[in-house]
Amino acid sequence: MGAAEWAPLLGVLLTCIAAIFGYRQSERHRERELANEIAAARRPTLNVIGGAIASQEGTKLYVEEFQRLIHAIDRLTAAFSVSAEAQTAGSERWRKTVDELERIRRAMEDVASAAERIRREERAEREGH
Amino acid sequence: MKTYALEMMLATLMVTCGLTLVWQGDTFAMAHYGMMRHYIDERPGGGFLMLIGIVRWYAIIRNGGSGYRPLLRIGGCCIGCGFWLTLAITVEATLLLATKTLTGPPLLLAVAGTAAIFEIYAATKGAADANREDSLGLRAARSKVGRNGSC
Repeated sequence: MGAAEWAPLLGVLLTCIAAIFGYRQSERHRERELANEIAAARRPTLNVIGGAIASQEGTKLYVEEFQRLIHAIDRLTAAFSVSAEAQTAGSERWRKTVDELERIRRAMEDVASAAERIRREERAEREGH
Repeated sequence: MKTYALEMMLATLMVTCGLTLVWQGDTFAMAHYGMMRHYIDERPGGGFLMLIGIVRWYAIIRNGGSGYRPLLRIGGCCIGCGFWLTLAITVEATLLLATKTLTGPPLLLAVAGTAAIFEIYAATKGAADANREDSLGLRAARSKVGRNGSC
């Protein structure tokens, strides 16, 4: 095989290897950015919720809902950090990660519904008095 | 490093090389293109290079917002790298066969070799854009949420 035959093949091969490398680097970078965004959003969100809870101090139900929300956010952060590994481990772990995220999202929706129910009950109590 | 300017330069080089080949006269008549002459005709080869360069221009200028353009950029980098590496290696090999000694590398080896290296680098950035835009559809295929549209 002459130089003019293997030279273009070598060029294409090297470029494909570089492209695969660039693709995977970008994927890992994206996952890290997502995890950092969630971690960065977590602190202000918890501060706001903590402030709201503090004003309702002594109401056990609020504290329980707050704890559920914290657990949900922690699991969401962990799921995103796992997903980068999951993609390299195979599609089965990725599917489990997505399922976990769906469960967390449903848990957060339950928390939001519970908070709304509590607000309606309080409003009804105030209007009753 | 912003690679769009780099990719534009490499694409423009392909177009100008293609134009040079297509132009009147016999570019490959020079002795050090002896090996290239065996494998590529000037006019069709030049036309092909110009076409690839123009497609790369389009993919770079209209980048973003659509999934397939990063793939065009990566394909252009593959062909570009193959071309520059062929140019660098065949010219050097021709000179070596003709003189039987390494009298000194030609400037073309430095220019084409450098262009080949930068094509490889540009391919990594094209692939990063392909990942960001999910050009291969892998993220959509893996995500059950994306398929069900429930988020």
